[in-house]
Amino acid sequence: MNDRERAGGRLAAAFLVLSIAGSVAFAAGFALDASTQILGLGLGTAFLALAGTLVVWSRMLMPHEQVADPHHPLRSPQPLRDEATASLEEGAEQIVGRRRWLVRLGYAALGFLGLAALFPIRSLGPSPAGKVGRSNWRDGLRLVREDGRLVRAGEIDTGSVVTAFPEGFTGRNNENAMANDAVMLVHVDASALQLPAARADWAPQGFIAYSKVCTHAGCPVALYRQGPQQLFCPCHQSTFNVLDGGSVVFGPAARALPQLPLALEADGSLRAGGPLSDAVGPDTWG
Amino acid sequence: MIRALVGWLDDRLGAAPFLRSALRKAFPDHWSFMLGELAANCFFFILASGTYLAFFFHPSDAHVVYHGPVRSLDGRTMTAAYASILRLSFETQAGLLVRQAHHWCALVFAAAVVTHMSRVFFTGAFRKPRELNWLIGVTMLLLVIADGFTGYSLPGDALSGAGLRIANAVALSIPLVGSWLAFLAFGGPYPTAELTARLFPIHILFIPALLATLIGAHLSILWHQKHTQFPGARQRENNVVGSPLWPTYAVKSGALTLATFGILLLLGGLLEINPVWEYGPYDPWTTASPAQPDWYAGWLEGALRIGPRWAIHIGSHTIGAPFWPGVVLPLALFSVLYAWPFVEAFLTRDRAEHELLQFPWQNPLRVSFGVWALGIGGSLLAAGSDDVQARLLHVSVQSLDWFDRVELIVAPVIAAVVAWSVCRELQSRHAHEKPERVLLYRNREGGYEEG
Repeated sequence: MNDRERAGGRLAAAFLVLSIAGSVAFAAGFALDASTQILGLGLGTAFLALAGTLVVWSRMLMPHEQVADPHHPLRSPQPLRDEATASLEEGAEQIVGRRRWLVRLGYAALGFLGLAALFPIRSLGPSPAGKVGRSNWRDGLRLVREDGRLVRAGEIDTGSVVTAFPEGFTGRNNENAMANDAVMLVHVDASALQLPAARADWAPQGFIAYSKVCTHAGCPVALYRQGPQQLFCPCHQSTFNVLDGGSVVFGPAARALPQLPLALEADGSLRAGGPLSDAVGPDTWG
Repeated sequence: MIRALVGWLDDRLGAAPFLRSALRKAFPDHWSFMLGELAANCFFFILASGTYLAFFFHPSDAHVVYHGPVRSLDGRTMTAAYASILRLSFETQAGLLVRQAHHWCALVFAAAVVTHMSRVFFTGAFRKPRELNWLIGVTMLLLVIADGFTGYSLPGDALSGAGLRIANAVALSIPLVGSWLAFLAFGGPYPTAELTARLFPIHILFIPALLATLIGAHLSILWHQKHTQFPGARQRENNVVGSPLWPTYAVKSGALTLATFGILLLLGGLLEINPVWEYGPYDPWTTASPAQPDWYAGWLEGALRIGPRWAIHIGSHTIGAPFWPGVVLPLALFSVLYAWPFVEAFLTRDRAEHELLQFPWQNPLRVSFGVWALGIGGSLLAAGSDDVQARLLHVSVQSLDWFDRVELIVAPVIAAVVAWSVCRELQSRHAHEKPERVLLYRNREGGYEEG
């Protein structure tokens, strides 16, 4: 035994002891309900120290042996290849032979089987007809908050924002409706608005609402930038102008946010003056 | 004892000739050959840790009210899946350790696959006769990304909900079949209460089973074809030089396996990852910001962010903007990956078998293409976190987005040109090098032989 081997033996022993210590620490930590950090440190050390042992073993305790495998070409001799080809062809000929029409009918049967097997896929979901991009907003529905409380105009200062839903469509059983009905109700300075003429009365006293579902990839357009008066989608940075009807200012969205026409009631509540101006959410073939 | 075992096996399987040659099989000693093994180790770790997690996870979107040690979420309504993640993280001993190690393992797994593929690509290991294993490898990369995505979509937190919302929009954007596809895959208009139950078997059964099968095929083919090796003093086209499987390579390989497990457990214990209790349960009308997916999906997120504003209207139909970055780009990328061995063979008219690897500089065209492709991926990945970078750099997201768009076109090309010229430079240096040294041994008769 030379010096290197003696040193290797000591090092390997040290690693093995360390590994045992790691395992014991893990087990004790588990029993004493220790923190995740201690458990990870214990078990990780147990594994790593064992790995260290093997490294020492291969570097210091074992001979550095090299072998050379001969590398024969994978290609088989031509007669063998011919025989394999012939077997395949002969077998195919035994199946088909002169029964060509029968084989064609067989292909047809397989095709029909494939088609029939596709039918159960239909059970996976309903038809999308008329269900894409729709929301529950219609004329007269009042705006409520997530918990169903009425939105009161007086509670929303200029420059602030509230997520609103149509009355009667909130609560845990309406999660899907809430996802697609959500609007961002923004209170802006009415004199700053630059709405097209047809929408001149859609934002009474500067209360203006847009679908909260991004027209790009459907994320909630949840961030309101008061300075430039923009709605901003945190997923892909599509940015929409609050003042001019939700036009795209920046980002990958190709379509303006649908706007909800609003009317202000005498009691300070807000109601929809009609449906959303456009389909909700991402574009689809339809 | 060993004699008896070998005898028992040989009586039943005739295994002695196989054992004799298999145990002496040569495994070349180059560190880059361990990358594939690192990926395989990750697969075993992720399978074991995932099985443990599956005992505690409830794949259900049913609503429950949470009561438990996470004070900030006490009394909150959430999915049963999210509640079970909280329970396994905070009320199951070692649960959080295994969960975090599992998540870290997914990140390392994908990285190991990509670096292993890069090694195979840049050294030309995919050339004839190894095209089949390249195709299997590309498929496994796809599966690893898919399994990662389905995995981080399971907990029902704000971040996973946003990811699924985007996946739904990408499906919707596909021409002709988009809306049907999205409705069938998600079980209706987004969001539905079906998703976790559907993703779960895909994540824990379908994809892992495919991966296990393909890993088996990958290794069988590797075993049969034998390893490639870098050219060297003894290395030739007609041999493989390396450590014998038993004992040298087995010990090294075992060390790597144990080290992989150890490092993943250290990461899982010490570095917090995917703290879903901070993101909160997913309410589909709210969003988390900043919102970044795991890195192996980050390039798609980046592509969606800086992608063009192209919605194509055909009559009453629309092809949505997410179609280009979300469907066309990955399809194009993976088509090129699948096709590369055949494209290169066609371009170089090289139909020969190659058992010796090339050093990257020996093939400037391949290297510059690979660098370009990695540059595209890297640029997109960087764009995927532009909001965070904008905050750190104190610039607007808008200007950073524009920078990213220009950078995506320009930087990979520059990198490719630089790589090409570096390769040419190295080539000319090697051309002026002294010829390869030959080892001569003196034999018993007094003459000399090449070693």
